[in-house]
Amino acid sequence: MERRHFLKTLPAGLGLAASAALPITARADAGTWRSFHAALARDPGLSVYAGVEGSQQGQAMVEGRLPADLQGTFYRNGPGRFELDGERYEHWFDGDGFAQRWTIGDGKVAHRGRFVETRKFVDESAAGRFLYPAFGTHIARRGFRDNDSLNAANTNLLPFNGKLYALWEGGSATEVDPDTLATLGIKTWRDDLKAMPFSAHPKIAPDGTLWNFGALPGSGKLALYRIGRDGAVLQAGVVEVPQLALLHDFAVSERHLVFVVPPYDIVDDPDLSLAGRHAWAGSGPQARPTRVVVVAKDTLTVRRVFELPPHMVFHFGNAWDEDGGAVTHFDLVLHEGDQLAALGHVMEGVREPNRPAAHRAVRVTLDYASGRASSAGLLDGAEFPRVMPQVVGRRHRRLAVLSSDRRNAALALDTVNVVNVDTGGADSWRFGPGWRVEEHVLVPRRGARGETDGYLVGVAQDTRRGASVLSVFDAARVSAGPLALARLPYRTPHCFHGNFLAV
Amino acid sequence: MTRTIRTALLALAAAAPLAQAADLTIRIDNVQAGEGQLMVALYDGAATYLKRPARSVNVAAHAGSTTLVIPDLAPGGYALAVYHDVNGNGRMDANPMGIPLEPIAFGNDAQGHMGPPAFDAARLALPAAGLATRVTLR
Repeated sequence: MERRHFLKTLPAGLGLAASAALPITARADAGTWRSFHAALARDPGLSVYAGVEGSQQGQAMVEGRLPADLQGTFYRNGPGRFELDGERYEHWFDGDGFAQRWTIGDGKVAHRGRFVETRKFVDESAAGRFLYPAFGTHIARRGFRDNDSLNAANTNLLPFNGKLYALWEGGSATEVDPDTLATLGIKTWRDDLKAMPFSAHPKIAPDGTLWNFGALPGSGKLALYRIGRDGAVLQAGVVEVPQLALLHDFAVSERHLVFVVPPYDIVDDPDLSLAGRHAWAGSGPQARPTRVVVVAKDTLTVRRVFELPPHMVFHFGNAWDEDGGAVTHFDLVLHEGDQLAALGHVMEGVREPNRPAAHRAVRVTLDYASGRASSAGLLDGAEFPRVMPQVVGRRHRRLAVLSSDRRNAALALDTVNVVNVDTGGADSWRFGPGWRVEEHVLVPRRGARGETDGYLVGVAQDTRRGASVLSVFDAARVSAGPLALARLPYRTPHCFHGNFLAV
Repeated sequence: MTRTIRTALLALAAAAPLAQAADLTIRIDNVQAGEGQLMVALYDGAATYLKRPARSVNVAAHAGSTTLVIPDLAPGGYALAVYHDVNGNGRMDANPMGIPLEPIAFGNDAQGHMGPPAFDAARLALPAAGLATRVTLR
């Protein structure tokens, strides 16, 4: 009788996991290491793609004046280790998570940074070499149990319900201590959701409810989560989405969850990394469109699928419904072509050309009755869009976003903007040559009366001086330049995403 | 008729150890809880691996380590697969993406890459004199 149980359950369970397979054989990459370090010696601007060793702790020198009502901690995360034993990862998304906190208070800024001690980080540190497959690098020196064995916890750092989570997109959140940043362990929201993918871009509604999704490329399954402000799972489900590829972010409106699925085929080749198995299907005579998949929040079922011309997508600003849910508007950044592969070249030290028209912040409008999706450009050369926390899921009028100045020869996000999404006007400030700007977030003043009633806070890398700088702008007057810059005596790893927690 | 066949099978089974039979002793480590059952299966070929076991046994789980013996096996190669049915529902529970929720182990402590290890990796060579092996639940 036990025979029957094995027959039914073991192959089914493990077989499904295997269908989302990651690479199998090992390939060291010393070539990427050599070409990157040769390029870095000529071009210190590439230091944003270099790693760090150990922990960091320091006090920043404040230039200008920090607003007295800006008090709290800016939590950030990004890849901090790209190299081990003379080998270098081939994709920017592969590095191990380095959690950071910038604490602002009483006119001072203190910084702390520390690697997230994931199972992967601990195993590979002990072995002195990379062991497991990374998103864009094909390594398989050691078998592993499941996706959380590969969890790099490197994409976002989210304060929620009094706790702090380092987020990746292919597996669980990793809880870290909000003060020391010491790793506390894998977070399981509910027993039956162990090792589920939990994306790095949850959205927190103004009432404190957390919405998130999880996807394993190639699985055709999109997991959805609604988690109460107390951390209890209120709703969880799975919807089937055929030809599902990398899904990095989404947007949430009053009634809908909005996903944009770029046209990739997932190639079944065990000798390629997961990134390498994404074959762009948005060009040529057989080009497929980009799909907008809208899920109804109340039922967690697909309401309607729309089509856009083929684009790659990483990040969204916000979504909102109009006419009782008959129309949904959302802002995102649309990339031309296979941007996933392009992000690999910087790891070899090859800069991308500056093509502002190739990545634009765009407003998309969905009409459910007609099934039509229309779009209008907001800002060229854009990436890393954010909105004020109090407008998540509601009508927003401002979008904070970075951009690469038109005059740059190579792509370099060097400008911060607050875009008026109704008029298309941008309130902007450019940091200048040698600077690389990281994601900036909008922080409301207490009792804020509008979306510019607050601050634009972020980090910028002064690559000529090898220093990292916290920047604070008046959200209503970005073009006046920073109110304050807080300069560290060292370089921190370049982060992907972060969140400000006011005290 | 049925009785005759059964008697014949019993006779064969009784005779088997005299012919050629080996015992496989399996120590299962890292049993997290003394509840539920350890579900153990042996597969004698790649074609039947994780589909039709040549032999399967379940025993009560004891926290820490649990040792069991599968007697009277024909010597040869067997892939070993174990899961801890912690909640005793007779199934290996999986999350909605198909990833096992309950602890699993394979022969030689082999691990796969987003899936079970290959048959050969989980395969033990059982000699006529018998074999003692151990696996660790993960």
